[in-house]
Amino acid sequence: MSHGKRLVAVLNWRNGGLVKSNAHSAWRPSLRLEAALRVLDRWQVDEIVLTDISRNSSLDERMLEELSAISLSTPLAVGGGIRLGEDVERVLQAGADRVVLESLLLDDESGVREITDLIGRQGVIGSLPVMVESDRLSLWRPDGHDSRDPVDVARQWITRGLVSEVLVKDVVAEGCAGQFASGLSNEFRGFDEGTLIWFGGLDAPTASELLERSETAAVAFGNILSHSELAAVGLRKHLRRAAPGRLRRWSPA
Amino acid sequence: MGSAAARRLTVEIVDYGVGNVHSVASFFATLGHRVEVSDASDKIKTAEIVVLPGVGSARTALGELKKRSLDDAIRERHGDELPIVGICLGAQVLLGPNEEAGGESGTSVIPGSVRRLDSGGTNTGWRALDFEQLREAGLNRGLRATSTFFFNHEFRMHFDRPDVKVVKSTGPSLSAVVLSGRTIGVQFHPEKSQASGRRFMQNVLDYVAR
Repeated sequence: MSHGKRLVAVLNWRNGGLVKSNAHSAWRPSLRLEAALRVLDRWQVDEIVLTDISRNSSLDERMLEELSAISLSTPLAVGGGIRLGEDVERVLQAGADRVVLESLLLDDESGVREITDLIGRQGVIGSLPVMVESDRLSLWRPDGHDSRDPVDVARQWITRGLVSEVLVKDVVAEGCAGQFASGLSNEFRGFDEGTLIWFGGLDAPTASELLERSETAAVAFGNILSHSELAAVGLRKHLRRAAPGRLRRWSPA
Repeated sequence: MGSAAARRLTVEIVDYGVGNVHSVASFFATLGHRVEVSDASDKIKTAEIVVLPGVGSARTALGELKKRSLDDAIRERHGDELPIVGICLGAQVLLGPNEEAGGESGTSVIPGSVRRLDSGGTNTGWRALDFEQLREAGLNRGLRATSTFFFNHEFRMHFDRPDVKVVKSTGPSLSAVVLSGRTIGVQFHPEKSQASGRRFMQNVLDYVAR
């Protein structure tokens, strides 16, 4: 499908609040969750991804509580600390439509099966943290590198029916607009149509190029969308001019 | 009677243990209607408007419906020509044989089946509807041909009978809305389709509550 690709906003939650992330190594406090969600909802990004990056082994109760108090009309995917089916149920009850899995997908396929049995693979986005060093693509893990080939890992997630889409996250470039690793997307050529979401250091020109790729389901932005109330509108206009017909028309009823 | 937008309806959200009751309940409250959430079959049989939400797998959903005897309540309600609105998985449980549930039948109040998407993948994203079909169904008020709606599913509604009234999506062409009396099934998520979704659902409520 060449049309209907999405502009996704990514919000990072860490230790009790939203943060702006810089290369996954430094974080600055950002807006209150409610304020950030309301702005993105009002200006109609196509989907919001909220991930708890605190690396706790359980759901963040405060995040769920704040989420439950908000009514959104924009699709919402939530990740971080999800291990069990009951975690998924709680996240959905708090207002999420889909879940984002990372550690569980990388470490425990049977745990993921429990979740897809419950909500179907259309309810699961796989988060694939990658980094490019010396022109070599590798998996990024918080406790060091993982020797598996990230492209193979992503392909297996899709072919085994574990996820519907893969969020390919350039960890080193995250929070640094324009730093998305050149060549990274070429490693994923040949993936099924509309299965990849690109994130981490994208700028508008790079995102426009990615929107022309058949594998692309969405382009995702983090900090840029928090710069101003109208940031999403400006970005959408730019992308619609640079990659005509790829994003949906923004047409309020 | 006036439009549903002008009347405050009581919307009963069926809680059958699958997913996004919170989102759907908030959505109808935002539209200005009184919202109740229940899994009691007596209430489901008699409520003014019943909404079947659903995010999840069909096998789980059908099991939970049957465990609570809600399948019978829905059939009885449909027979009594009382309004039912099914959303996504909640629309698919209104049909018959369901491939995702190993061929097990849903409530079969609408003649149709549920099959895996021909692509073998999922249909996730914002799609427009066949506007002529939407207009013929009387659900187009306040919408445009460019209005888009959020879809996220791996299985699709399938209808063989030509007398079943359907509105299809464009690119891909899939059954997006099915109408049978005062029962409407919607494959996409109006509650997550922003302004278009709100307008569409007001039209749906006008249609079923007429």
